[in-house]
Amino acid sequence: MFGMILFTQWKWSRLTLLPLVVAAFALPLFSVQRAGNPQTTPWEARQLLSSLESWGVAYPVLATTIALFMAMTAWSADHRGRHVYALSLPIPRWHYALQRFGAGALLLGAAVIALWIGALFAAGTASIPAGLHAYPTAIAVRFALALFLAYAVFFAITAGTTRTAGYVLAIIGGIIAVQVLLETAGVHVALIPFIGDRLILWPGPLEIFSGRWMLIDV
Amino acid sequence: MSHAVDIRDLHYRAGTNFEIRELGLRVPTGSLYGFLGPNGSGKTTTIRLMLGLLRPLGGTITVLGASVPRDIPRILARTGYVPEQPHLYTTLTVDEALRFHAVFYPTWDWTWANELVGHFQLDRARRLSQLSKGEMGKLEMLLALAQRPELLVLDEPTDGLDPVVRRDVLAALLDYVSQQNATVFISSHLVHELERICDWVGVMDRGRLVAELPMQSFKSGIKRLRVANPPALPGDTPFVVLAREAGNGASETWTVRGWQAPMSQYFEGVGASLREVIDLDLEEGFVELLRTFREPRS
Amino acid sequence: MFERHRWAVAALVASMMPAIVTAQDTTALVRRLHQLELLRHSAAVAVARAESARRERLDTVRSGALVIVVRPGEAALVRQASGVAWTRLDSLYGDEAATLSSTPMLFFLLGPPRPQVAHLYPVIADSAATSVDVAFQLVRAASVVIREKADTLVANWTGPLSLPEVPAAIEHARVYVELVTAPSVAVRRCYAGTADACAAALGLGEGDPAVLGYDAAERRALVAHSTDFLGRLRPAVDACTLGSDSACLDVLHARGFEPPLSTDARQSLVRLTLVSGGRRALGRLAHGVSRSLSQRFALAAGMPVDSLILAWRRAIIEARPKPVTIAPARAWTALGWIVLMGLVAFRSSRWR
Repeated sequence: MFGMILFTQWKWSRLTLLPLVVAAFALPLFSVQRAGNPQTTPWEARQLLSSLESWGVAYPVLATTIALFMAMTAWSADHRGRHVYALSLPIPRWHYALQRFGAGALLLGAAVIALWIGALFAAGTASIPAGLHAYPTAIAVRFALALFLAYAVFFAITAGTTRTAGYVLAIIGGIIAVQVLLETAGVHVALIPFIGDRLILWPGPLEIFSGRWMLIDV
Repeated sequence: MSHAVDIRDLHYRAGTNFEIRELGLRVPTGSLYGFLGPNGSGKTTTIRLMLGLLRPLGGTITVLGASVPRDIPRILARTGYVPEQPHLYTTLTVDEALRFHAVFYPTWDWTWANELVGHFQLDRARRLSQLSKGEMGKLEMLLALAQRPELLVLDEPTDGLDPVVRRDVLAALLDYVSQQNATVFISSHLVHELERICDWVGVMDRGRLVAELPMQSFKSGIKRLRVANPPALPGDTPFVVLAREAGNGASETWTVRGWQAPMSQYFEGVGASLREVIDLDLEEGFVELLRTFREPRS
Repeated sequence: MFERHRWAVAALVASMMPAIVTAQDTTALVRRLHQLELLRHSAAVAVARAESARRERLDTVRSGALVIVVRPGEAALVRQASGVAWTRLDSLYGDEAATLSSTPMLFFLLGPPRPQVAHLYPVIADSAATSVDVAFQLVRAASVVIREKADTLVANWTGPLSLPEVPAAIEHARVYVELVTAPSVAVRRCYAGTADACAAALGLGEGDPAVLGYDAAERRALVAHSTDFLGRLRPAVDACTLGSDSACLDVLHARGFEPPLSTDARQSLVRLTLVSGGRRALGRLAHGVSRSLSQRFALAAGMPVDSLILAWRRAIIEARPKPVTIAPARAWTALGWIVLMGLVAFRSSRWR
């Protein structure tokens, strides 16, 4: 049963997933291109780190993109059929949703492995200045956590009903409206930054996306 | 008599314009139950409630002895369902759709499925999105039959199909029913089709079950009577007067339900005379039934 | 007014004439003439400013030691900004900020023709500038003025004393990267915890910086890394490349070179010194003709220079940027959120 669900998930997502997996493999290689020259001098260490820091933004962006795509393809066929087929299958519904989730997560593993291999290759071939270290496995682990977290969030949203999506949008709109009202009333409460900090700072859900995404670092 | 489907006091509301209220419906086990009703009467909604695709506001639903929605997985494992609109994943091929469907049903019969593929002349390598309406209809029926269900729930399965395809689909259905003691619940607005195959009929209109009785009783029970010198008020009749229409001179045409031959004595008792008894086919009876339901005689 | 000033100068000269006439010492005569010249120049500058202000009908805004000449239409904006600017300057530079009173500034917005006032330090802002923007420009300009007042030893060592535009933690993180990557034996020993090495790395060491900061191989690499040589240094460069350390030293001494740690590192030390030493710290640091840099830092911070440097090193080490590795707590938290989101999906009303 899981095999067939995985098969359908693969069939629906392979055309877009494959390029994204290739991108995950290539990203570490591109990020260390400045370190490819064995003659890299220590004076260029700062430039190397600066370059890596710039490329670092691409990791969480790629994780979010792959996760969003996979979550959408998990449910797009069911959405088209208004979920009648899935709901008429003789398994508990949460079980079906769990298998869809698992199938997508398994395919996401390919992106993680690709990135890990790319990071190992990049770290092995780059000329790393003294004092700096490569973190290929650490960056792959972090990428995996960010990827699966984004996938879980998008999966939850796409698996929900239109009403659920409406509730989420209403909450976001409500927060913005409250902030505007407070500002209009002259009450300077930074509500949106406060909520943003709760999301981004530990133990918020988005904390894994923040920080330095650098394959080579101090 | 046991019932494959037993619905009691079902209550459901969709928006502000449509409501199913106090619906009671019983499908005898082993019967071919035709579920009649005009468009928008609530047939598809009732079926979805029956299979747990919708949640009712009240009432009880029992299918194959199990409760909806608590035992839905067990119920669906023994039920073949063909919905009104095709519901399969159109990016799959025929072969992939068969393999996907098969893994969910332990009773799946590959031998028979392959037989039906050949009988319906379906191309296994063809994507579902490339199938014609008739081919898709055949595939939907194939999937429902090949899982060897105890209950078949078919929501307008032949709607939009040409006569040849319709014949093939119904033939496969009847073939299955003749082999298994399966219960078939088939909804349609094609009255003539149901007349030929069903032995029970339920009529739905505007969210209410108007009538539920054996097909033979339904067909034979509704008659049109030409009555001369009819009484002003019918009084206590042994049959149900559905409608009265004035005719030529002092005669009227009565549409009645539950007619039997000995009941002609009634007219003698009220000083009227029965000139003619006209049989109505199912469609005419269905129309009359709906008309009287919508315009109750005062 | 100019006439009055002319008479004042003339009177001053006249009063000194007897001394000039009676003095027979040439050196004294030259010294007095030099003094007179300075006086005359100051008077001329003051007269020019006054005349310009009078012609342009400009206002003067004062806030603390800030003196800002401004067009009347822009006075309100500058008044609002100067309060903020002065508070910042006072907190940054302490008592040294008071020296700004002797350097009035001229503020104007871009657009209308520039006020024709000479000898005032210009501060310019865009025509759409807010008071926050103007305050920022005032602080920036004042920082330059204060730096220019410092003697050349400190000015050359610190480079432009830029404003702390990022939080200290971020600045320290950048310096940490230098501490780890700079190709210098002094920096490596500084990282290991040797105060003398840190001093050498920061350019505060007593002795030849080229020897204190780098070993022979690093000196050779320094020479090879730089390509802007004068033709006359070519033979020395070649000799250095072939292994002559003395040749490398000659090239470095002739060309000059930066200390192993950058101006960012040096400025972070200055900021720590100002925090440690209080309001008078910058004054002690910026003016002390007879003292070495190390002595000035010690005096300014109010502690031995080794203690200051080690405190600085501690702050830098503590600011190590967090690499991409994840602490177990963070990883478990992320996993927890994944599970929670999954449960939200499975419990959706569609799937219950």
